Amino acid sequence: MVTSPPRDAERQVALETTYAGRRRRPGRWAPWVYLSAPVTILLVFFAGPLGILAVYSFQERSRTGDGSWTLANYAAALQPRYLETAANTVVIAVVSMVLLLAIAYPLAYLIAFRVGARWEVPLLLALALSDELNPLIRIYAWRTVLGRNGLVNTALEALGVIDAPLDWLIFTKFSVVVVLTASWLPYAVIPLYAAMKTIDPRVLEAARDLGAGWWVTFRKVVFPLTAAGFLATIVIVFIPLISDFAAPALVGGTSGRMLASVIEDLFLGRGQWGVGSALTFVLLAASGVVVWLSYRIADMNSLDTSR
Amino acid sequence: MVRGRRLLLVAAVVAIVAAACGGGGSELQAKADACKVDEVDGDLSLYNWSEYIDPELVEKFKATYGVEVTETFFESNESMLAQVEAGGAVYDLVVPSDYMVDIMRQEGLLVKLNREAIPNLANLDPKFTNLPFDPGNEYSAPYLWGTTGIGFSYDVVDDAADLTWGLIFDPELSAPFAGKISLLDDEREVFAAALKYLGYSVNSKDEKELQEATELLKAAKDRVATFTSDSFEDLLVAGEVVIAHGWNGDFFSAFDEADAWEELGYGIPKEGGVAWVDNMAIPTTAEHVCTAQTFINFILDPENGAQLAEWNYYASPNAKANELIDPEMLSDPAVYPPPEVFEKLEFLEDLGDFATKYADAFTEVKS
Repeated sequence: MVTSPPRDAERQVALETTYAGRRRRPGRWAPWVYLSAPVTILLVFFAGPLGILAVYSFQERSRTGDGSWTLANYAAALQPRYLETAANTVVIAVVSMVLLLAIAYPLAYLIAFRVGARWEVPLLLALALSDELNPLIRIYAWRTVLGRNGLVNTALEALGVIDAPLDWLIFTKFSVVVVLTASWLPYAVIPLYAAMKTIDPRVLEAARDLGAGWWVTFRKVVFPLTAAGFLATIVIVFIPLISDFAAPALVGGTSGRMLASVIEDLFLGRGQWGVGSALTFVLLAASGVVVWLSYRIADMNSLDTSR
Repeated sequence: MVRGRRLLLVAAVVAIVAAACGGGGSELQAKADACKVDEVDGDLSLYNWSEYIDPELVEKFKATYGVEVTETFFESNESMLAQVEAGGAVYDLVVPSDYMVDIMRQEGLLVKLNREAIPNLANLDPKFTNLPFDPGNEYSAPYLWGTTGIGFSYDVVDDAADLTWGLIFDPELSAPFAGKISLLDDEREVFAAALKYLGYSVNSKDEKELQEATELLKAAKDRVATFTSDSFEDLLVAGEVVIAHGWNGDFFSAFDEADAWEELGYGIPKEGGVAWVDNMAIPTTAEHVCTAQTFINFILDPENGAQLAEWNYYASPNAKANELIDPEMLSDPAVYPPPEVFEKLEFLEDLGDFATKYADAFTEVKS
């Protein structure tokens, strides 16, 4: 999915040439030997099942289906009845993504440069640990936070900010966005942190010495240097965001439904494996397009030259 | 897509295994027919609704017969069916509701019970031994029975006798609780509620009636907070909803746990509702058919049956068990509905190919 920019390939060739010049060139097959284990795992556990799904998506696969070839699954998957859910899915995923970056980016910056050595590791550990909690338990916990009689409403009522509980806090798109953002925060902060850590602090000092304020430093130094990490984060997080089914199922209510819940329903609830597989590929294609677009918009190559 | 994909992977792997296996049904039947009373032939894999058995009963079974019991749970009859059909996983015993027994029986997914290995079948109330979904209890033995109605807060409804499905479907009547209503995440149950409100049968095979119910549900959806089959009682107790569509015993267990009998109630709307029987049955995915039949016999024991019903607050189909059940529970009209209420209840029936129309309509309602 992620195509490495041509410059990487060139660099690779250059590296190999120097390497070969100094020592005996390793066997042509050596990389394949090293790669065999991971490639096998990927083929068996990733490409294999995906291939099965691809086959199913073109077959009659339901309680009464006989496995004959058909295009009807795609016709069913593209029916207008899923359109509203599809639109919901994209809105929720994009809003969560934006929110996630808005929180994760400053947080990663603070951890990398501001909190100091004493807090850096504990904070990272806290983020990693927050992901250790079983996702279902975490979502149920959010119910007690966002509920009508939950923490937020009780607190606001006690403070006299509101008279009656806010009823849009739970079982809405809002609650799905909140839960998704919170769930995937560690996955956004950690790659961004890693990207920031590669910045030499002396570069920041130099910027300051040359009279750059925080905004200029950010725009001209920090952001260009972390742009690759920024894009990597989008790729890592957007796919799970757009395909989550636990959060919409538990806090989405009737208005925060997402496509993955429909797919789950088709597979596990209705035994409609054919339509479920087809819809899976529709979702996969949609998320592929979004990721590809974000690459285009950010124009990976031009950002990369600023290194 | 990490979490979602894991599920799909499982489904795909299951499919491969299912394709590789298959057959062997008659062999399993022969094995079941040869079982003796109290015989065990290995550990028990029990596939049940969540929180549907007293853990002490499971412990007792383990201790008495020296086997392990693995419990897995499902949230709807349809998802259980999909899982059993997929094959791969071993389930020695499942607990489908009435109409689902019919579907599984007709699809050849169930093993016939060996009556000689389950002498306690004689303890059953004759009312439950010859129901249309499984005449003569050839394939299944009743577990518990109950009703589907409305759980409510006394803040919004004064008396269970005033209950009507209009509290959910009538735009004016339900307006005050907009956003504080939950419906079961179960296609047949949700449509049963809508069809009853419209005055039709819950087993309607009339496209026009189904269409009417679909429109009604779509219009009501904006007032519904969520579709849930596993936490409607918790949402009601927590005050997140004030009108909850659900199963009687689940409400009562939750009321009891929260000591909320004064604030919350349950009843059957005046238009009527659904009565159901859940049943123990042995799917063709079973390995330990003797243990499974011994377990059925164990549950049908009067003392165990009474303990099961009291723990769940569901009515027992076991006549001998009912003699041992707390008289207060026996006389509770919400647990054991009196004849005039029972008359208004309908069992869900297998609708054959028409069931797909319900599933499609429910998808339309939810999306």
